[in-house]
Amino acid sequence: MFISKKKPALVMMTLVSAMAIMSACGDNKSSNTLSNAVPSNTEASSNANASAPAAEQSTAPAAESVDELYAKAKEEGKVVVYSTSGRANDAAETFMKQYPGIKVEVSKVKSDEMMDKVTKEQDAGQFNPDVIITKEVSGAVEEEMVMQGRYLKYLPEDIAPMVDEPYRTQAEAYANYVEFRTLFYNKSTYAEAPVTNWWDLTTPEFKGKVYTADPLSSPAFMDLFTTMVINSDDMAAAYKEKFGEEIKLNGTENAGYEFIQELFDNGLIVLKGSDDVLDAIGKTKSDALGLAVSGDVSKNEENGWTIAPIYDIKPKTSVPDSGYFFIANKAPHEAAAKLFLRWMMGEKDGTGEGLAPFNEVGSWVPRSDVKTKNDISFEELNLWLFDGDKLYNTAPKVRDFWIKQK
Amino acid sequence: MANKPAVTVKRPRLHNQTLNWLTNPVHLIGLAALLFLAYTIVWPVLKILYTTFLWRQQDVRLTGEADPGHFTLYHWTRVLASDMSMSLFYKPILNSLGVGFAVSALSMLLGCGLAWLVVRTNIPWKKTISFLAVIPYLLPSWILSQAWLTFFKNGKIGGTPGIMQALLHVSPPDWLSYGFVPIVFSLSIHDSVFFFLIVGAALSSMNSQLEEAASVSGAKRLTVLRRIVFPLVLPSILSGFILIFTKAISSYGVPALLGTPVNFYMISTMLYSSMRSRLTTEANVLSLTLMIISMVTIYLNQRVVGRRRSFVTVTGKDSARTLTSLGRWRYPAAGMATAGMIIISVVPLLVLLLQSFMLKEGEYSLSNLTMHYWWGGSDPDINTGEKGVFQNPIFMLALKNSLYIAGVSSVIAAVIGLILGYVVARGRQSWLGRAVDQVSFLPYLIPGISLAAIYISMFAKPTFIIPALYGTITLLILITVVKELPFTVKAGSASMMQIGRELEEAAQISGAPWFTRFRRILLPLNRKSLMSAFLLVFIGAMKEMELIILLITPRTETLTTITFYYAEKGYEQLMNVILMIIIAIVMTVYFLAVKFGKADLTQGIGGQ
Amino acid sequence: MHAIKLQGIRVSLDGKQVLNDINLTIKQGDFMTFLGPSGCGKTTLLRTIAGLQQAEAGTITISGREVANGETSFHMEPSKRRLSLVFQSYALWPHMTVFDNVAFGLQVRKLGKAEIREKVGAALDKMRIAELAARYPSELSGGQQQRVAIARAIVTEPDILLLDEPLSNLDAKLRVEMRAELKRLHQELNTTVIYVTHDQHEAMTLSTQVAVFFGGQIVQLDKPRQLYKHPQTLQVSEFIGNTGMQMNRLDAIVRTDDEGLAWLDTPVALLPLTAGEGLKDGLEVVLTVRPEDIRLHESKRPGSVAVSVTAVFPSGAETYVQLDAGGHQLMARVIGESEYEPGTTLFAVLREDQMNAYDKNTGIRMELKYARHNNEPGESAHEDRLSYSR
Repeated sequence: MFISKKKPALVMMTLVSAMAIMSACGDNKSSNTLSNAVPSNTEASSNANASAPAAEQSTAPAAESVDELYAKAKEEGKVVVYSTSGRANDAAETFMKQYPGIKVEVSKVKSDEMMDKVTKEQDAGQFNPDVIITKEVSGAVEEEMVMQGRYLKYLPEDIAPMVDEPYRTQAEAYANYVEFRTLFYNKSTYAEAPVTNWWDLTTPEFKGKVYTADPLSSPAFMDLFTTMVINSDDMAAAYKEKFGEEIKLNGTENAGYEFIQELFDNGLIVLKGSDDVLDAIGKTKSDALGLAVSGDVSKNEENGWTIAPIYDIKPKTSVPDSGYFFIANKAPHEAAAKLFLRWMMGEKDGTGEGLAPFNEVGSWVPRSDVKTKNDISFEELNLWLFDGDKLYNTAPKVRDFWIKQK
Repeated sequence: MANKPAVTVKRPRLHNQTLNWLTNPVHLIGLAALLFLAYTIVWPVLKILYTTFLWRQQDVRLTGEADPGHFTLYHWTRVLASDMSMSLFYKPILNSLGVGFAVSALSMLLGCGLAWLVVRTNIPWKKTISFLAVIPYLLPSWILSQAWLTFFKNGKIGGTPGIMQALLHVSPPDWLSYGFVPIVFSLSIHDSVFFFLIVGAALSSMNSQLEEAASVSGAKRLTVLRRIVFPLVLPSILSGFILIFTKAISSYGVPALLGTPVNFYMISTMLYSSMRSRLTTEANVLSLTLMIISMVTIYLNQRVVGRRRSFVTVTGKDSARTLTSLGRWRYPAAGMATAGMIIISVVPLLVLLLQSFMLKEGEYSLSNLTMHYWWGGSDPDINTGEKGVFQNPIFMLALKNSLYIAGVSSVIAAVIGLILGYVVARGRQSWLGRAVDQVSFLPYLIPGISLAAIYISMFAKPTFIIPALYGTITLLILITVVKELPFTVKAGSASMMQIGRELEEAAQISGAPWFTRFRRILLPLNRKSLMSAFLLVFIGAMKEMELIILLITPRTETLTTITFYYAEKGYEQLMNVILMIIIAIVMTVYFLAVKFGKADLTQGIGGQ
Repeated sequence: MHAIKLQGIRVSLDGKQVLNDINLTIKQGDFMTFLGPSGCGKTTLLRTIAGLQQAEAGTITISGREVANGETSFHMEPSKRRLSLVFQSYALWPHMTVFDNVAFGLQVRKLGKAEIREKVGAALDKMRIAELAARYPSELSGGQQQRVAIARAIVTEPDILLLDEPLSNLDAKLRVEMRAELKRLHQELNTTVIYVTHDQHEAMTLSTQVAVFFGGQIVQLDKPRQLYKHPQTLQVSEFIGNTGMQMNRLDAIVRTDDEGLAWLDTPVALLPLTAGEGLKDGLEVVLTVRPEDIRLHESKRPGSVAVSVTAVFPSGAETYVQLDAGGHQLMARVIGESEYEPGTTLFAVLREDQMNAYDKNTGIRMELKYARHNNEPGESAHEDRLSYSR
């Protein structure tokens, strides 16, 4: 359903009823969201005193109705978005039709560059962005931005109950879409997924037939390997399941490192990016496997690939790569920011048009009330937890290990 | 010093000495230039250097010893002398140096050879050839590496087989497909235009009597080239050499694409990796090592160019230029040059153009042709409803911004380059000239992101007399100018070195103040080099991305940011459309310059 | 009144001393030539006067105004010194037409358009190149470029015109032509001219004064005639002499005896001297005799030396005769045609008053006074000498 401008009465009706529902059931669950969100910010508050009040203000899901927000937002006139994804541009277009009078300005910046940019800006007293849409950078976003109070969590009270964990309370913020790195195969070669266990890749059958995008230049790929190192017990168990014996470490620290080393020993081929990997296995008939981003499956037709992702690998398929939503510290157009964020979340019931760019094949919206376009639901995905803190501290060591494999 | 060192003369002497020093334009401009460079380049570099000796919060990830905010040598030892050094630094640096030298040498061969043909011989089709020579630089360098792969890739990286494999059924060896060789070729083809332009400008100002003199004394043509022409254009060649060397060792896209499949890493790819993994300090150490290498190269260059030798070829005693006759080789040479240029420049261009008309990528049929990506409306089935470029309202805005930034910064960069080049060329003997030479060279080696990040903190608040520039287009122009300084200063100084001092002195005696001399004598005499600097900076600025993206605050879309967006979305045709538009703009600028500036590359290089 | 006065000028280039303690006064209207081999510092001095080079020490005064003072490091702008310079390379601006080249200085001075046209026209007329106004330098011959360069220099009506080897790039015929032109120009304009050259002939024909430079110093300042007749040092003598035919050079030794007699012992003859102070026995001396100062006679004359003709070089109006004087080669110049057969014995008289004698060790010219001739001791001593030397 999509709210038309011609029917203001209906809009009002809908909004009022939404309000009513919200206030009716907005008791325990939503206050949970609040109370869970606040502790994660207490550290930030003590670190950055000045920003603390603002932080609380932004995160406090005060009962702001869409109307109130729109009224304020119209006064603000615009909203500045720093986004790592082009999806924000698409959502902005529909938003501006829905809420005339508010201009959305999207700057596209890579997640790591965004961190530098916002840090430097804020340190210099310039508060430019309102909305931040970013991926994690091996836990650095949480460590360096969220905990320092530069990015603030925002999840409206009325939407929170529908959000799946960890994004409701446990994660650093709400993520509007989740992708992950996984193996792809060529549909014209294999009728079904040729591997079920990560250790399959180390067998002679796949010697010289595994491609990956270079984790050295795209850290999100490294995150998967780092997560394997962090969860080395899982990896060891999967080894035992596959080969029926305990894993023997050949000079490595644990099963995670051992896996990386054996991958290399089995002739892992590193290409520049995700697209190169899918070109390699998907352009023509190929029996090789490639590590790429789940979201790329939507580009299948566009690029003439015949690829399919594997969504169940042992011990776990992958680690989520989430597209987090934040409000920037001291956002100059706070109401507009909230309004835009709500729009992208698909409004209260998850049916808003703003969600469409995020709800695509290969990516998941972690909301229980949103129907995914994938064959498999988000809850069914067998993923490791993204442990920002551990990743942040382990990633450099895994990277060193990787570099030494050369 | 003085015969009678009387106390009374001391004060006026000091006063006069200062006055003399300052009234010398080389000193005054040099000083101003140095202040400018100090603030825009040296200061950021020092900041970078400073961070490498401190523990940062991030370093807790690397080692437990980290003590944020305190002094440490950890980062340098890690890079230079640890169990990581071999893979992290030594192997990549050897690769970088190898690529740097090979690319410079190959570009020199290509660029100088072509420049000589066009400028000093009676080869036909000069305008066409020199125009074609600029085209590879118009293309993003990764397109050339992609083209290389299209021809030479082997089974290793899968996908569609390379043309060589498809036609000859021979799998090219890895060394031909990936790593050193293709990287060197791609970069050389892309960058040899620098040599062509710089050396071409030098050659065209060289008196042909110098060649004739040698021919008359019985020297063979090759001997003339080697013994007379080569040494005379040596400063230009060395400038080009260093320029391309630095560009090569700092390039990222090409080595990333062609190097990774065979584990061929360069410092630049390592650096990028460190940056993206948020190991900023490690990245800083790596980029500093690159800077040191370049400083050494420039120092050696200054030793070679030397202080006493003169490279003046424009003396103000002019004579008609005679061209070397190629005899019966005239047309074959022209044919070969043109064919070569067409293969490396026009073919990729046409392929891109064709692709922008193809509804589906890789489907070569008439029915697959469409204008949709140019001016089609929204069609939900194509690119999830993304409109054709000309229908896109953002496009006009982006076009305007791009033209503004590129136009203004290229004019400023070219003129500043010439002025600083003047200081470098005239001040070869003084520390000032050498300092300007060295410092102006660093921006190529500071990763764009680092420079931009530092600029945010430097220009976000008003300092001294400098207003808060952050968020203004002025800052974008400033950083573009700074980033292109290495090229413009090199081109400027190489060109200035060619102009006899007497030409300026003659004007000085006539009573012309420095500004008049610059405007009426030096500017017109350096016209060719100025034009090439302007054009190349314009092209560079139109293509620039990394630098600008961090400094844009509101929605200041440029053509490149749109490209970035399309690339990320996988809308290749749309991307090609933009690329075509960029190329069309550059060509238009080129022809406008020819028509109205009277000072163009082809004519300038091809003779008066 | 003097136009230029140089006092104690010292200049270094790249830390190398090029000019050392130059003192020179040039009078208004003089045509002063700086003559010397390349690298002697003459061009540097010219540039110092022009203000393109800065003197470390010494002062330069032009028309009574101090324009440079090394002690106070005062250096007046070249453009304020009211002088013009013609460069060796002409330094014509290749991107400007002849007219613009010449007009530049006037344009810079912001003269009116009409006035500029008039003055440029006059200057071009004076150099007889009015028809070239619209051409570019690359379309001109060397001589024409030279004329443009001079036109450019005189158009601003400078008090002093500096010329740096202006003719060295021209061929012989043009050089002669331009030389005449410069002389005419000097007379017409009546400006002070400083002219730098390494060509002795140019120096002789053009100048009213010549300063000879060696190793960063002025070694002789004289009128051309004087310079030609009496070079102050052996070095200068060789430099002046090495135009045309070779200067005769004789190594000699001063001899004195107890009776107070003194004579010069040369390989050719013994020349009696009037004794005076400074004549030490055994002092080594170099005698230079120009070919035209050797008179040839068919019969013996007082003070003559017997010589035999070895070769004859007719050279138009004059003839050079190569002689052998007791094993020593001499060259004599004879006006008119002389038909001497090789082998003929002649008697040569060296014109002592035209000879120059130099101290061999210092190279400095000595004033020697020659006594009347006395044949007998000379003859015998000559024989002795011959046997002695064998």
